Amino acid sequence: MEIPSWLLSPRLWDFLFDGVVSTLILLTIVWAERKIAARVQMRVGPLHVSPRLGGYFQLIADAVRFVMQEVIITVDSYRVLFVALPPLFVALALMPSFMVPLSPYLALLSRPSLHYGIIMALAVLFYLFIIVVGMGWAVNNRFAYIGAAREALIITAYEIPLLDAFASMFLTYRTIDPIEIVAKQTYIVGALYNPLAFIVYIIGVAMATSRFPFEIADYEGDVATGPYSDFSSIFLALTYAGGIYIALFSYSLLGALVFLGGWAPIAPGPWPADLWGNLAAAAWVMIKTFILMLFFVFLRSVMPVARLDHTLSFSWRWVLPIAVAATAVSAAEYFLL
Amino acid sequence: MGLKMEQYGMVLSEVESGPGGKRTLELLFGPQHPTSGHIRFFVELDGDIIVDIRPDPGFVHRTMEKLGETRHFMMNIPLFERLSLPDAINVTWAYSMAVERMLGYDVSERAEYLRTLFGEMSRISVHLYDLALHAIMIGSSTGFMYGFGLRDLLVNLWAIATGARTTPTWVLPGGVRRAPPKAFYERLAGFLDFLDRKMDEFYRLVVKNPVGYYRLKDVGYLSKSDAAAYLATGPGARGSGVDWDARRDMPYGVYKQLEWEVRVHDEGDSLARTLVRIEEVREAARIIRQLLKAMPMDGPLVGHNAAHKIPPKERGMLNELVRMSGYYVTTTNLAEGTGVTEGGRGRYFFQVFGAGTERLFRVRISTPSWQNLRAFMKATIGARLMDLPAIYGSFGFFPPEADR
Repeated sequence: MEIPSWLLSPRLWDFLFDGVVSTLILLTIVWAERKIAARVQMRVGPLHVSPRLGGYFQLIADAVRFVMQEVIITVDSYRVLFVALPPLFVALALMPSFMVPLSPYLALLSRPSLHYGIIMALAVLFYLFIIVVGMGWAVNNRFAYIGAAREALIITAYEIPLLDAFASMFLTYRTIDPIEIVAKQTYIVGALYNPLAFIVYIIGVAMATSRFPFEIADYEGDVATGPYSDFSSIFLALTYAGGIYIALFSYSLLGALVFLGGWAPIAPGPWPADLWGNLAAAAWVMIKTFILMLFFVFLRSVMPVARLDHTLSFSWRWVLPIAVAATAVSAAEYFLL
Repeated sequence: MGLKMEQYGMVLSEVESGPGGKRTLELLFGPQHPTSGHIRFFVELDGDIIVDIRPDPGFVHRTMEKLGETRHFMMNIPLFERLSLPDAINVTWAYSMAVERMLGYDVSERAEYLRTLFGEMSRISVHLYDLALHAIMIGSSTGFMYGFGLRDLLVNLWAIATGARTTPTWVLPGGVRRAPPKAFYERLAGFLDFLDRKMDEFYRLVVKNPVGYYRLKDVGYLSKSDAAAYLATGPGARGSGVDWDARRDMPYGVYKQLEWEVRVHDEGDSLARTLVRIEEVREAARIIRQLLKAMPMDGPLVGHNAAHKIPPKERGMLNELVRMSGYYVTTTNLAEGTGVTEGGRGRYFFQVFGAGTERLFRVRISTPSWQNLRAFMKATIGARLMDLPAIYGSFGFFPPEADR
């Protein structure tokens, strides 16, 4: 039987793989966050819904509950933004993962624009949390206002160091093309080439996606989840309970490609060039992404929340100089390696 | 302080001009808020700094002082226990002391030892509760689970001894209601060892953690003279250097015969108050260990004057179960009595006036959270908005107790 050529298209498989695996990773990572926090806290975590699987389907139960809840649009809010921004948030959160390749042949974009894949992904990710500021505006209550102002301040704090970390890695690899970047990493991954950049990346992503200790804009303690405060049902599932984790997934995917070696194989020799080989390479990238996300969600169990001015001064006084130092290290590697 | 509906809309149209022409934002940190507890605060913010804070208590006012006049004085014991359930023993002990002084009852020696033991357990319970809430207010849900998980073991001990986990209703005027069985003593020692280990972990996880440490250090400073002037009590005062503890300064129970220290820190910030709490848990464990060695294992559970009222046939069962009949035929005399105990959050003060019937004429209650409210307000002015949960938890402010 003749397999139609569109079925073998790398774009289709990249899209399917990315969509399906990102959903699976999303479910698993939220389950893992609750389970890890529970085990650290001397308790069991989700167990009741699917006891033999360790409560894994609790997430599906939660999603069903979110969808079935009454949709409340508050009277005082700006309705158009209130309804339109959450889906925009989650769409833009998932988009960067489609802009980067998942294996030497699986990519949604083709060669001339794939060259700029990481840059485009970063551009979308830096814009993403401005939508959160917009959501705080749309909700139109004081707590959301304060939360949105905090989010804006934190965006300015982490943007430059995070961009600098990626720029350092571009200097080290002497290219911005994601496929060439992964090709240059074997056992010495990006994190080993420039550990300072990796540290700045970790701190920057924790700040960007409101991982503890930087869950400041949507802090339950005094702004009552800030910009997300009047959202319920499907809106909350799209933003607070889902969208932030999807943004974390996109950031982690970039980190896995640039810092953790992407699809670089552990056994010597390239991946087989057929469909299964590429899917295996993409699965390897996703495993690394998942491990990176596990670290970020683990932070919830061991860290309290830092104060806003401490975070901002930490970012400007410490993280930015470390990012500049990372660039200096990369410049040295550019000339020496 | 009423609020018109159109005032709750967009912020820029509602900033007020404070003194000197500054624009401030008024935030209703209200009862419907994850961190505020059962109280509303009107917080005026200048940017991130709190320039003024006015409390709006009364959401949990249960008219306890009035209810105390409408029922038999024995029925007041479960009532006043609900002032602060985590600290059940110390609250009812203060009330029982007041009633004993009014009626002229004495307390048997075994009951004094038992009351002290359970009072220290109650102190551990309320400190764990407050530390847990403080931890989750600064964002550490792990601290929250540690505190409540340890407290769960402790309330199971209370269930063994008194039949109820959180509402022991155990202290009577004149003595105590039941003696704990042997299983209680066997498990208590193991619990104390586990508690010491886990409190070390809690300290490392939440307080010594750099994020937690800087969340608490130099936050909500209350100077020693301010703490004394605003009548702060409990860790709110002892964290600012005021060295006062009702167990030592207005002695009751068997504290005088035991070796223990009052924990005082001088810094006056939230970290000092939290450290006072953590160290008091260790001191309480130390006191309980000494009591376990010195505890009389038999003897009457109520004092002589109270036992005298119980019919002779039931006096034989005194040590297993204090029968209430003798108490219920007792009427209050036309006298007054006061009782002061040091609970975990501060000192409880009860003053009762008898009426000549089985009901009291008046019960006056002063709870530590009510005393600490003014000091809490003073410490919060000038802090940042994100410091409000940190200061709230460090004072151990408990609205049901403040509102009575």
